[in-house]
Amino acid sequence: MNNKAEHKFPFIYFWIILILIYVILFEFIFPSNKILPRPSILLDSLNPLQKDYHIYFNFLYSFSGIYLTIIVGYFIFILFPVYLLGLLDKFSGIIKFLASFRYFPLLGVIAIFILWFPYSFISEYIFYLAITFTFLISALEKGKANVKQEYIDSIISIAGNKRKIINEIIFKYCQPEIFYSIRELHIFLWSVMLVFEFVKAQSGLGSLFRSALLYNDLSILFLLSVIIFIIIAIGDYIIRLIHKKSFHWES
Amino acid sequence: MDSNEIILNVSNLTNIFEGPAGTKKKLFENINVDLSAGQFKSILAPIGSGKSTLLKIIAGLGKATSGEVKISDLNKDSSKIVLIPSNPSSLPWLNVEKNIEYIFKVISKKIDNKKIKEIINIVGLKGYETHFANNKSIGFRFRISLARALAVNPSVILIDEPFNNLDFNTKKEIYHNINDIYNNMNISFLLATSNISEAIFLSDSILVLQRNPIKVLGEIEVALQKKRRIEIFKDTLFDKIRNDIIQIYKSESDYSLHALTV
Repeated sequence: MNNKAEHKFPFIYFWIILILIYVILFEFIFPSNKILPRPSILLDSLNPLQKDYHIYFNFLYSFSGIYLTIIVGYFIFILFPVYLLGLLDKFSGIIKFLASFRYFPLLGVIAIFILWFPYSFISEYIFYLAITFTFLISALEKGKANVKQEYIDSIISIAGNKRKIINEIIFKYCQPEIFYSIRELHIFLWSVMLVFEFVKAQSGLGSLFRSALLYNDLSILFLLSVIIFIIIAIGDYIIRLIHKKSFHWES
Repeated sequence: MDSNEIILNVSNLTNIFEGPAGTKKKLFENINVDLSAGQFKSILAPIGSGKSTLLKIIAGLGKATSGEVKISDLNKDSSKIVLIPSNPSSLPWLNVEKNIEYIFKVISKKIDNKKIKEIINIVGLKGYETHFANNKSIGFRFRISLARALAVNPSVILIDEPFNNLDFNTKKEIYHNINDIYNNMNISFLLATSNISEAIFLSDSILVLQRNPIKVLGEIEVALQKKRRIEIFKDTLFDKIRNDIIQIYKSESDYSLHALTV
């Protein structure tokens, strides 16, 4: 048996054991409780989740909100690195100031957005995109500060002080840092989005939480939490995988 | 090309560096260096004395407080001067071949695959074309930096003390490699080093400098044969030159000697 397999099995066992404990405890030992729903009720709730809560539509709504903005934000960075680094050079102070607000108490910002654009889903995307941009630009700023001077020196000594080429190198060097921040952003956006949708109470998984709370539907709340946990875990795994494959050169 | 023609002339270079508290420190004073076409010269000075700053100024990456650096462009088809910094400068996200290709892109020249292959052969990286530098030794990464420098067809290569952390065998291979390049290609070299034997092995001429501030103590000609192999370390002339250099430092009663490798 190789080492990889040895590491994998305990992790899988952990989840299997956890699910088994849950089934045994809440299906057979404490079937009536106010902590977690019975597993059989969970299975029964799948149908109302589709028909009454329109899980597919709301899932797509939230899913696109998160992943589209991450993808769009990242592509803006890929397509205009030289321009963005130029912005960083010119407005470094302002960008640092904005970046320090990436963990700004979000309920306040969310409330303002909801007041301004109560029915606009585009406002949501703009809001997420603004968060994405702030995260990525601060990662770029951090990465830029750590670029090894010898990369720049050797290129300047060969080609002269060509800003475009130097910025290309700086951007490439910063990409792993940007990907680290995408991992962080991914989790952060999910939390922000759930709160945003919960407060706005129109569409998305956050609004389903609100409805389930309203109807005191514990099994739906539990199911939604499990679904969101699985999506975040898969998303995080994919981001880590892309990171590992794309930046194998990172020391 | 006339081999006596001065290709690089550094005259009266002085650099005063201002510390954070406004204190001024003279890093080097009235440095004069002449490098002829096809010459290999070493700047021998202790570690931490400011050799890297001096090379950066010569390479045009920094400004001196006073003095001048003149470069005559003997080879019209070449980039004049290329610096190989002390830390590896090869780009870790590109493999060996792409690292060299990238230089063609940077200087807006058409990629010449034949030349790339030739350079890879010269620096001893044949068979490693698709290898990335990130998990390789300093010696490997130095070879890529050297290949990148050769790709621009330079008149002068400045080498900033890259051999400090190499093991003996890698050092030996790279010394031979550089000596072969020097003998077979029409390139002048200026090496900054704190290793006396390294300076003797690689150079035609050694500029002996003291530190605090860097000042020229003397210049030693190395009249050894052009093609050199590591066995030359045992040569009596090699020994004599080494002793001459040590004597220069001792006669100046300069503590710089303690910061040099023999």
